[in-house]
Amino acid sequence: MTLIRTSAKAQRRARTLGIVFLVFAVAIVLLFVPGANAGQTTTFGFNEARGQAFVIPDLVFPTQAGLYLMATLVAFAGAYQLAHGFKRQNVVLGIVAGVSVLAFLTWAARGQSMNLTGMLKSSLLRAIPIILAALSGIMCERCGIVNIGIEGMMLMGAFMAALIGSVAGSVWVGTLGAMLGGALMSGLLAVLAIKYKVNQVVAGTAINILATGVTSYFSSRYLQKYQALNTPPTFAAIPLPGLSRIPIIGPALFDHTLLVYLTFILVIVIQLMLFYTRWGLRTRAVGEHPTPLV
Amino acid sequence: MDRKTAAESNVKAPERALGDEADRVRGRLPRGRRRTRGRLRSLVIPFLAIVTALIIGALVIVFTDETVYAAFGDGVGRGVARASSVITRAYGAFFSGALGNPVRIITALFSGQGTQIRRAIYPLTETIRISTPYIFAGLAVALGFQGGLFNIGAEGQYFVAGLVTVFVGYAVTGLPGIIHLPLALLAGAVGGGIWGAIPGLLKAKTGAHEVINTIMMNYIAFRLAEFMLDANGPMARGDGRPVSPEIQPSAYLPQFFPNQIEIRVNTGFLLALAVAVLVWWLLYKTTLGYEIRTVGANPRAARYAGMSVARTVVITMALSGALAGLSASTDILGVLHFMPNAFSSGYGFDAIALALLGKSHPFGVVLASLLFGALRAGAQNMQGIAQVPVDLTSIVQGLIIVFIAAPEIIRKLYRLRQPVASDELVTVRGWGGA
Amino acid sequence: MRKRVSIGLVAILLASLVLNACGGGAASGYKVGMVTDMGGVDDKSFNASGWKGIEDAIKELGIEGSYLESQQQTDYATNITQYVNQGTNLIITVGYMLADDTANFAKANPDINFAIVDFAYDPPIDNVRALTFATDQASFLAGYAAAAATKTGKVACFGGINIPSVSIFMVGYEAGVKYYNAQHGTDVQVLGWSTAANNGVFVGNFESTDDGRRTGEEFLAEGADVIMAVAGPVGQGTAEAVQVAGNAWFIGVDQDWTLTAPKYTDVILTSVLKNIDVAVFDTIKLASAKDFAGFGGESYVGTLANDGVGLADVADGAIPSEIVDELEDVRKGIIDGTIDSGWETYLSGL
Repeated sequence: MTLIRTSAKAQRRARTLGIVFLVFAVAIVLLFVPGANAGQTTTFGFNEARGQAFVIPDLVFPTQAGLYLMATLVAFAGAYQLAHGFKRQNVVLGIVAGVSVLAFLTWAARGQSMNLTGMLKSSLLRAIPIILAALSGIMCERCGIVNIGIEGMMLMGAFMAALIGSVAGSVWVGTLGAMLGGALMSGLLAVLAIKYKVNQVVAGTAINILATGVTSYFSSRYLQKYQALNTPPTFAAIPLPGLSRIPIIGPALFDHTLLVYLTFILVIVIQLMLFYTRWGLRTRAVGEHPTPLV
Repeated sequence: MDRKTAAESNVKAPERALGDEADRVRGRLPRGRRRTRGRLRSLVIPFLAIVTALIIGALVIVFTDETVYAAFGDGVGRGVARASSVITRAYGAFFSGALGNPVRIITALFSGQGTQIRRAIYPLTETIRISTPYIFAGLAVALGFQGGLFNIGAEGQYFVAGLVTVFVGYAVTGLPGIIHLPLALLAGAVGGGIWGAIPGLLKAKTGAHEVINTIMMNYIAFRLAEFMLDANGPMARGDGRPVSPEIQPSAYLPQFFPNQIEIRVNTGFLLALAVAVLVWWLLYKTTLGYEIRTVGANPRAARYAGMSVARTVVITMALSGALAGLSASTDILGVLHFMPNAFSSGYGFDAIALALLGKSHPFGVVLASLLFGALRAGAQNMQGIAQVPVDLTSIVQGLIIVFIAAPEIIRKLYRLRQPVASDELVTVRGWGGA
Repeated sequence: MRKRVSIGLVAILLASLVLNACGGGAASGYKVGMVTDMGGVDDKSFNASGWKGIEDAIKELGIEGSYLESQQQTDYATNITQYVNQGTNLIITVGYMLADDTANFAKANPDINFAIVDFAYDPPIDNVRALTFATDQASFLAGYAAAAATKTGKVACFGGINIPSVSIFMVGYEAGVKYYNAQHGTDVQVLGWSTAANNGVFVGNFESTDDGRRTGEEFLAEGADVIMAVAGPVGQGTAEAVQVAGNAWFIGVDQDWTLTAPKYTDVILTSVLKNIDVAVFDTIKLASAKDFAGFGGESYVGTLANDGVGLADVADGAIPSEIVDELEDVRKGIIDGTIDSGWETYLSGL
């Protein structure tokens, strides 16, 4: 073990991290262990009902013993960190966080079973709208726009998707409608911010309030009365052949609707566009420092 | 506060921003001669903004009313008649719900009958009652803005303060009201203050952005309230409902009409006005206020002048949280007398709008809150009488903000002259500030 | 020119302020007002169901009816006040959240009649009719049908928020499954609720279809193939998840989901009907009658016997026809008290 010369700041951070690990260990013992009875077991399942290439047996273990094991692991990490210090602190931090979450799940699933694969899958599904909204945020941030109106844009998009999707009876037209709704609101933001020199935060707040009002007003005036206007079709899941049959990651990653796959692609595309195209350079330059470009 | 005028808007954007910064510091110095005329003039735009928003609201009502289309089918004359009757009905209900019906108030006053008078002034009391928590929440965000901080966490601070207030309200017994009530209010302020100070501390110590952290603290607060007030939770009443026990009568904010359960306007409103004056005094008459404003305007200059930016940030956020907390306290101690699981509905968000509308000035916030209170009270009445969805208020609110923030639109619409000096909004800098 | 137009408009606005008094129409008919909770009248659940009862009454009894939606806890009293001031004869409040305000106003206005859905006062208030429902009786039948329909031997249920009017469904459901096990010697498991442990799965709200979808997917992943969602519109997400997964059934609650959410008809096994509309209609009919002399603290309990609760038709072919016959026997057993649908036992065991 070579001694790395560290600044006082890094040393302090290393020490804090070690203490945090120990606190985690104590928390597992104090918070979770008392909740579990001696005889209880926790079952983690990994198989999706849909079937995969081969079946992974369920992981069954006594809840208390499992929790103590996890607490010991975390405590060991803390002690080692304080005594010697890990080289890859962030990796260890990630592992400790992961183990702590697992301890929580172990506690939550005491006396019952929990399907981890199913949980991964639905976590991803729930993350999709957040990812898309975050991409919108990234684009704005990179070109120096403070966009707090994303919520309003999402609302308007959802409203238009439901309305236009129902009328057209097509998922694609509905998706176009959603994009149109979002674009309409961000167009409003642009007009207010650029033409009328409204502060972006003010405009964003106004857009959020306006979108809330417009969507709920029209929904209680029309969508409520004419249910047919609010029954859009939905995308069906398309399991990717082969890939979706890989245990655990197959159902979690490769058994989704087209929109989910499109989101994956969009993340990559926007990364490429921002950092490897002329447009991206200009956008970032505007965001970093607009003066030289005006 | 004099600001950049739109007439000078050909100045390039970034320079304008810098100019704004400089002006903000300069703007604090009194400019007596321009003041009186400027104030009168500055009322024109907000007034026209409200009127225009209401007109657009009326158009929305008409265009979404099927009876109007049916009437137009029978002829233009009938259509116009129907449209105007729809608007009169809706807005009549709106105004009489927000301000009361003047004719009715006068006849009631002349009749001298208690019930008549109470019913006639009831709408006004509702407007004031609804405005009370708005004033506190608006002040909270406004104070943050003055200190260059964006407190999106008013909602979470409201929840935590609610929990603390209601706990002190029901768990502490045997105290006289003169001690119990201030104690409960203080508890709310402290609870909200701590919830606000945490993101402030994180910002001061680590530079973590307060927007992110106040939002995160919101989630923690929601789940905390959900846990505490769960039907089987530690603070549940125990009758199977996810609500807290009722607070002791000694913690009630005194009512103006104690024997009338429908009139719920209470001394919380006076407290709100007093606190608004206090915030004004703090901001403009004390050293701390000067520091807050300086840090808000230009943290580098503040540091250069020997102020502790970190300390000011924490104090600003704590005060902001305390104000947000008081909005919950007045709701619980003055109106509800218990805390339900689903408590506030968007106060935190409306508060941002209020601070923006009020130009981050305490008195402006009070006026904006009264306006929002009137809009809400009116919409509730309009829903009952004219079957217009309450959500119309959000449309009108959004439009008012747009028009006040972009006076150019109003000026064009009404062919107003460009003023020599116009007010613009006090706002935060971008995400990365300080 | 423009200026003049706008001044004209302002004048109209101001005129409308002065001219329009209450506007509510001074008709002499019997007036019924409903105050919703924060779900709003389009919640496809109990607010919607309550409003349907009033609409039926408007058609059949010729009364005047309207509703007021609430956005905040503090709106409840505002809305009740509005009805009190309009001279409403019967005010119906929907949901336990309005219990305190309803009680206060009922006591202050003894000449106005009130009815509250899903809450019973102890002791009862003279001019308030409490409308409660023995939904365990109906969900017992649903549990019985679910146990018969499952192929994996696991059925599931979850609730919105852990309150009695929700958990009563789940208690009955589990009791029904257990009764089926006892009758048929099977070992069908119930996920999401355990009366013995007095604990179950609750998503924490009555709004998020996303939560419903997620919870549904988790239950499906754990092998359940019948899921009952007792969480209002949240269930739409669950039905969606069930439909996407295929080979599974969904059980709706409150209203008949094949009517209110027809796009999921192919996966709806049945619905546990909580006929709030029947109760509301019954109350309006009672109170608007000429010889009505006050509720006198009487309350309404919807049961299988009075059709206040019930089970919608079970999907064709989902369960064998002899089970359909058995369901009828079980129904009779619950009505005459030979079969225990679980709730009373559960309450006494707390």
